[in-house]
Amino acid sequence: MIEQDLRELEEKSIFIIREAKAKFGNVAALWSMGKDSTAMLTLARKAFLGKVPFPVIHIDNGIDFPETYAFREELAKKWKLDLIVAESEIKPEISGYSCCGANKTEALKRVMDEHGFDALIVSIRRDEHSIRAKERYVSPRDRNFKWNYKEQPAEVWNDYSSKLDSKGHLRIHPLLDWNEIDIWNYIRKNKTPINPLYYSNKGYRYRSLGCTHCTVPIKSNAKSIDAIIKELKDTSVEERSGREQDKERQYVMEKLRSLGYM
Amino acid sequence: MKIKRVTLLGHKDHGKSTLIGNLLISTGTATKDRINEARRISRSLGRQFEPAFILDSFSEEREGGLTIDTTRVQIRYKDIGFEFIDVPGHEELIKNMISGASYADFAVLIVSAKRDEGIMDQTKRHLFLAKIFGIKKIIIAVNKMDSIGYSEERFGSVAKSIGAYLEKIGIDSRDYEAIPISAYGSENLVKKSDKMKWYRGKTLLDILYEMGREKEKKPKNNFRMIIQGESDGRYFGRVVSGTAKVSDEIKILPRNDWGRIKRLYVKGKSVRKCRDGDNPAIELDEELKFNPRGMVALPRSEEFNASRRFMALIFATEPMRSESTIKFIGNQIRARIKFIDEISTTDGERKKMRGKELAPLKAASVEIILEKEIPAENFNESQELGRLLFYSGEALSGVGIIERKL
Repeated sequence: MIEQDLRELEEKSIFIIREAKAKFGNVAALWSMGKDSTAMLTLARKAFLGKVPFPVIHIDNGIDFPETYAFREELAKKWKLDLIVAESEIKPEISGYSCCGANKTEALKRVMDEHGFDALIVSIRRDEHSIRAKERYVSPRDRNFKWNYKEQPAEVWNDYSSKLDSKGHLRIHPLLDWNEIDIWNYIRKNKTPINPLYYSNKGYRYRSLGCTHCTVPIKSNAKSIDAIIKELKDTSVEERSGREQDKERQYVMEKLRSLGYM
Repeated sequence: MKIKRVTLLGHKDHGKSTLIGNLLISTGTATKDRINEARRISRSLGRQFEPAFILDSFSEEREGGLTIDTTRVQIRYKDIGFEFIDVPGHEELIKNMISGASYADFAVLIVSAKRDEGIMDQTKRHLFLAKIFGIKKIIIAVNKMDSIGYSEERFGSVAKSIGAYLEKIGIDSRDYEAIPISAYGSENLVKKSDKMKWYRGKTLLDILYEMGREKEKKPKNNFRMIIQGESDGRYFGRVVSGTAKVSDEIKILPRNDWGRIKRLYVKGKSVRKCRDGDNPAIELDEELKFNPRGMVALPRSEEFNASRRFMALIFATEPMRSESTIKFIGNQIRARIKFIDEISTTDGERKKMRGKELAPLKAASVEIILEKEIPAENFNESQELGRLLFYSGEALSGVGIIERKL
C-alpha cells in the first residue's frame, strides 16, 4: 500500500470540500463515526478554520456498536457538530446485500428529502473497491439515488461541472485519492479522535466498521495507531474483507452502488 | 511518497487495461483475492485469463470486453509511486477518456504491432490530446510483439511513423521514447524479454522511473491565487504559483480592486506566508464589496491585463459552433469562436476552415472573443490559467489551450 504525500492530499481535499460549500446551496455530510468520515471532518475543520459548516448525518439502524454511539456523542459535543440522526429500520427478513440497500439507503432518502439537501459529502476512497475507483469527485444521483455509471459527466482539470437534475443530488467525494494508510497517517499527525473499535481487543480489531450484523473483526494485536500503520504496511488482505456485503456475489457492490449505496 | 500520474492512451483493444493488469500482477501489487476474482470471472465467461478484469470491474465492461469508464490504480516502483490511469479507447467514450487523462504527468501510448491493427486514427487523436493536456513525457509502447514474431523491423516502422506524427504536432523528440512489449505476456514491462534481444533499452517501468526521477522544470511565476469563495469575511482559494505573505498588497482581477493581506491561514493555522499548492484563507484589511469567486489574486504591483480575445488550440468532443460558452476557472462566459484552421488530428496538417462548425473529434486553431475579460495567461506560461473548457448547454463540448493573448 502506497503512502502518499499528505500535504498534496490534504490540500486537494480542502479544495473539494470548499468547492462543495461555495457551489451548492444545501450541503450535508455522511458521518458513520468511522475513520474516513472522521478524517474528513478534520479536513473540513481546517478548511473552515475550526468549524464544520454543514450538518453531519448518521444513518442509524440501531444496531451499530455501543462504542460507536458513545464516540458519536463525545465528538459531536467536542466539535459542536450539527448532528442529524436518520433512523432506519432493520427488517429481520432482509439481510446482507438487501439490508444495506433497502434499509440504509431508504433512511438516507428520507432525511435528504426532509432537509432538502442538494449535495452530500461521502468519504469513500478509490482504493477500497474497484467499483469506487470508477467514481468522479463530484457525481450526480437522480431522484431515486441511482448512479448512472455509464453516463458519468466529464470531469476535467479540477472543474467539477456536474449539474443537478431536479430533485436529484450530488455526491461529493473529497477523499477519493486517499489510501487506507494515508487516513491513518493523517489521523496520527492530527491527533484525530478515533472509535476504539479500531484497536485490538483480545486479539481482534475492526479494520472497516459497519453495523454489528455484517462486520467481522480481523486478527490483530494492534493497540495503537502506530501499530495499525505498521500492520497495514505488511498486509496483503483487502480492507473490506470483513464486510459481508462485498463478497456475497461478484457484482454486489456495483448493484448496491447503482441503487444509491455509498 | 510523491505520486506520478501516468495515463494510458491508444485505440480500443490495443491492450491498455491488459498492460495495467499485468503490471499489477508482476509487481506483486494485486492481491490474491483480486487475481482469483479475475480468474473466476474469465472462466465463467468462457475465456482465457484476462488480466484486464482486475481493472474493468463493471459487469458490462467484463462481458463486453471493453473499458467504459476511467479508473486509477497505484503501483510502487523503487521510491516512486505511479498512479496508472486507465481510459476507454472507444471514440464515443472520449469524454470519459478526458476525465482520466487530463490529470496525468506522463502517458504510455499503446499501439498494436499487428498488421491488421497498427496505428489507428484514435491512436493519434489521443496523442493530440496529450499535447492539449500538457503531458510532459510519452512512452510509445508497441504492443503484441509476440503476434508478429518479435520483428524488430515492424517495431521500427511503427515507432518511426508515430515519431513523425509527434514532430508534426510539435512534441519534441526528447519528450518521448519507444519500447517493444507484449502486454499479455508481460514482456519488457517489469522484466526484460529474452525474445527481443535486439532491443537494448530499458523496461517500461524503468523508463517511467527515469522520467519520474527527473526534476520538474516549473516556470518561476509570480503569485497567483484562484479564488473559490468567501466565508466569514475570509477569502479562500488555491495558490497555483508563487508566494504571498502578510502585509503584501494583492489585486483581484478582472475587477482591479485591491487590498492588503492582514491575516493568512493555511490548513486552518495562522501563518506568515503561503505558497504554490496551498489552499489559504486570506483576510484583507478591508472587506471586498463583491463575491470574488472565480477571480484571480496577484501582486498589486504587477502589470497584468485581463483580456477578452485569445488565439487558442481546441479539440471538440461534441459539435462546436461559433456561438459557445467557455468555462474558465469555474466561470461560465459567453464566447464567439472564429474558426481559422482545421488541424487534422490524424496527420497534423492545417487547412483553412470554411464551415462554422467543428465536428466532434476534430481540432482547430481559433480566435476566441469573450463577452467579458478574464485573467487568463498563455498555456506555456501557466497551465492552470491557460486552459479553457467549452460547453454547449450543460455538456462539455470541447477543451482548449490559450496559445496567445490578443
